[in-house]
Amino acid sequence: MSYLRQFDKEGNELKSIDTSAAGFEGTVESIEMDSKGNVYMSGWEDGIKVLDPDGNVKAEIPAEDRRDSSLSKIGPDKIGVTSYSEDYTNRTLNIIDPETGSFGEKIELPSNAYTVFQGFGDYDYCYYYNGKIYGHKNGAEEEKVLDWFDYDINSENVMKYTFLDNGNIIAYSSEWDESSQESVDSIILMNSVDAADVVQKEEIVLASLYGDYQVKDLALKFNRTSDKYRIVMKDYSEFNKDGDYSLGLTKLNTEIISGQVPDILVTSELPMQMYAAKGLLVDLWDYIDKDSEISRSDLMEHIFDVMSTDGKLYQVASNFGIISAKANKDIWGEETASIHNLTEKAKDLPEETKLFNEYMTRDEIVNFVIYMNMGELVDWNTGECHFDSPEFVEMLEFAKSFPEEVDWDNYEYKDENNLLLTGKQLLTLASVYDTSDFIQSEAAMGGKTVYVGTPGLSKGITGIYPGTGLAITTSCKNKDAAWEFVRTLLTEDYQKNNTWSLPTNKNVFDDKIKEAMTEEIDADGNRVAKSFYYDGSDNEIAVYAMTQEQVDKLMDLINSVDSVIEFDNSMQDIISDELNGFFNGEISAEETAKHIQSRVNLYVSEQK
Amino acid sequence: MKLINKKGSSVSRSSHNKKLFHKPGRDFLTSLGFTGPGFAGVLIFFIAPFAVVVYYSFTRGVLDHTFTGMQNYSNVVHNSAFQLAMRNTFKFTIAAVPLAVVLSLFLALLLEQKMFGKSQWRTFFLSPIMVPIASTILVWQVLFHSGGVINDFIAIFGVDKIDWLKSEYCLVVIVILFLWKNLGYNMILFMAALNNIPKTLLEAADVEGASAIHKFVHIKLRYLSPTILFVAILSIINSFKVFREIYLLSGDYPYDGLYMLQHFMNNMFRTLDYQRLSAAAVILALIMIGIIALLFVVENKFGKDIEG
Repeated sequence: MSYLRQFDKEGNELKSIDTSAAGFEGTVESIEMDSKGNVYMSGWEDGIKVLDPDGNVKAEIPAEDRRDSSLSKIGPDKIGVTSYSEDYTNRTLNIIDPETGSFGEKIELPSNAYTVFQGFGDYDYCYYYNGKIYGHKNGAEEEKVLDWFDYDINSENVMKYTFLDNGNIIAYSSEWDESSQESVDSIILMNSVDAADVVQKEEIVLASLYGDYQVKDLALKFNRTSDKYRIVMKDYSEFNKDGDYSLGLTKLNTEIISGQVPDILVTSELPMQMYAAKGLLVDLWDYIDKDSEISRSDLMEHIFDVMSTDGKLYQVASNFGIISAKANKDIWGEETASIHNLTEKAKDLPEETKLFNEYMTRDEIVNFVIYMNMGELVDWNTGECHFDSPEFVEMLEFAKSFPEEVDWDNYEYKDENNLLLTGKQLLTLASVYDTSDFIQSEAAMGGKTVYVGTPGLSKGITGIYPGTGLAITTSCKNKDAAWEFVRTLLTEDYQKNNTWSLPTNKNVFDDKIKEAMTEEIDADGNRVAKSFYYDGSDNEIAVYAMTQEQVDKLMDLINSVDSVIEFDNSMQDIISDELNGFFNGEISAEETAKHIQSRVNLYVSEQK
Repeated sequence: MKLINKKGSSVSRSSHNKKLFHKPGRDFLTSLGFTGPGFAGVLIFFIAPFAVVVYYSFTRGVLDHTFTGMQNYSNVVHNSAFQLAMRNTFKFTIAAVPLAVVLSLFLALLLEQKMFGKSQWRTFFLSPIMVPIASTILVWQVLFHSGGVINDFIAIFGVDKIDWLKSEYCLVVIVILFLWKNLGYNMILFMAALNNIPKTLLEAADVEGASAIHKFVHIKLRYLSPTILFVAILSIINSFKVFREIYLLSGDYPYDGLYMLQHFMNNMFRTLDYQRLSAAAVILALIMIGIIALLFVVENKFGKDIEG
């Protein structure tokens, strides 16, 4: 039996409707009620059912016709579900006719109107998008009604909210507290105050290409504690539209070039080398060296050295992951994965042995080499490129030996650790984001793992993906205040509470290693496995605490890091354009390298 | 014809007109009435935007109007991409403009002779102007692609195929395209100028037994000098606009031998680097003004005696 029960504010039951007749087998995801007492219920598997005030099913929309599963109520008798237009550029709210169980009125919505709800005041309806609430007035463009961030509230934590008749807002927020490992629930009542009563703070503009939850949370905490400065977040992903995800970056670049430079940048997916070459970023080593609490020796210094360009550190990150390639030490040996070594190994491969897995195509190899070897190929400071080197030519020939695309028709999943152990595959790409990744791989390979680096021009390259990174721009007027915010990423307090990935604070890293090495012994005196590795053929391998030998191996891997992964779409377009002719056999590798060198050189020189 | 003035005296229409149009300030207003719309157009669409460009070239950003002195010019002049673009553009101009002038003059002189199908030949040389640029590019791609017709042809003689647009011959391909596109129009201008040379002078030269070369150098060439100047200026301007064809053939970043000043400016515009774009545009404008001024000086020196 299931009931929908209505209570007054004293907790007295006003009404109870038996909803069993709806016969939902799956989860009821959304419930709404209209002014006549009809109840609308929706679930992903069961579709939409409309019950009369007595609980009898009066209309039904099957799951296959139902569009989205979440109901939206934009008026006392206007309840509907949203759907995309065929080209996914617009959304439509399809109002449900409770008498016939069909869709009646269709209301066109903006493409980003996901959560639609009843308007207030002059607004017909409102919708939530990217941490903000927008309102739509009849015959007018929608306008921003509220940005949760302006009220020091993280929109990701807001579970439910409603506008009261007097324009005030009541919201329910649930926030995860890392230190207590519990969620903190709160009811928030927001009422308007006179602007003159609001304490005016100096603004520090923080720009990002996507709404980063961690940075948003960090900024909110900074805003709550600072009485002089206030971080204002500018999320440029809002400018991406119609499937073009580069518009946000274009907009940011436009503003930078026009002199509207943000004070702090969230560095993910930004052309950091280009910004640094244009003199847009400050050297953060100066701030670390001046800091009263954090010093170089408190950090994983090698990682920051790798992130530096000519001794200048343009971004700091709280965490990092490592990307390399691994092999079976007994088969591969200790050699590095230079293109030359790979080419030589490929010549002597037995018939049943592959060099890499099926995902490795020609383009994949070239792109990987370019991203991982960017430092060797391009010097953004001098504007020099080295795409015409013999090593690059050799790499092109090597890449040509790979398939053009993945043969999905004959694809079959196989555990790659097994393939490495049995000698059916020589190498696989390996990411190490945490100590657990590392020890799982060690367990799966029986300690035979050797990290040889991803294919590189002169040697195998071990690279890092920096986690959330922050940079301060040279035009920032309050650099010390900006550093106060940015430095938080490096503090023990912050990194201790954000335990994913490998931390950049040395003390936190050491604690993580200590924890990974801590052996748990059960009541019978047996070692307790930390986790299990499944190799896809019902084999379960227990993963135990890290040994000192494994710690040394991980440290060797970290100390072998020599590159930060960088992406550059314009450069990739030029290279892809030239590769077509080469892969089609129209021009030689030398000619292709020469053309790439000529064209990319122009591109890089322009950025100077 | 007589007109009666307000005081009752009669004046001739011509003397009335003289007074009307020679009244102080009226001349100016009348000429302003005629030239004003044209001047307003030039002011709004050319002079004012160029003034903004000059202003941008001295500021840090479109919204940050901090005066930066010659910083943007220094950045541009020291940029290796700009230097390459400059070299390529001048190499192209120096190769293409004299050829465009000489060859079109040669064609005009040829068609001035009595020959079969004169009208058809004229149409033939003029027809490239009417061909849309996209079609021209398509034809050029078919001809000069590494697997194109030209390579098929030279393969008959055992010559290895050449990737024309990505080799040291790339500029030659573009010069040929430029000449093919512009010769016809230049030729028509020269033919018109040749028709305006006084026949009596040429006949007198014939009577005095002047050779064809003597007549060409001392009569025709001197009468043609204003047209040569005009065609040269037109060709220089067109040579700076050859970017359009190169862009359609090889995109934003062509082989470095084809990278022109317009590529640099176009890419600056695409990456919204208005300051460097403006500085490059001002430098280009100054160079153009310098070259055209020089041509005027040369033309003045050689052609002033026949202009009267």
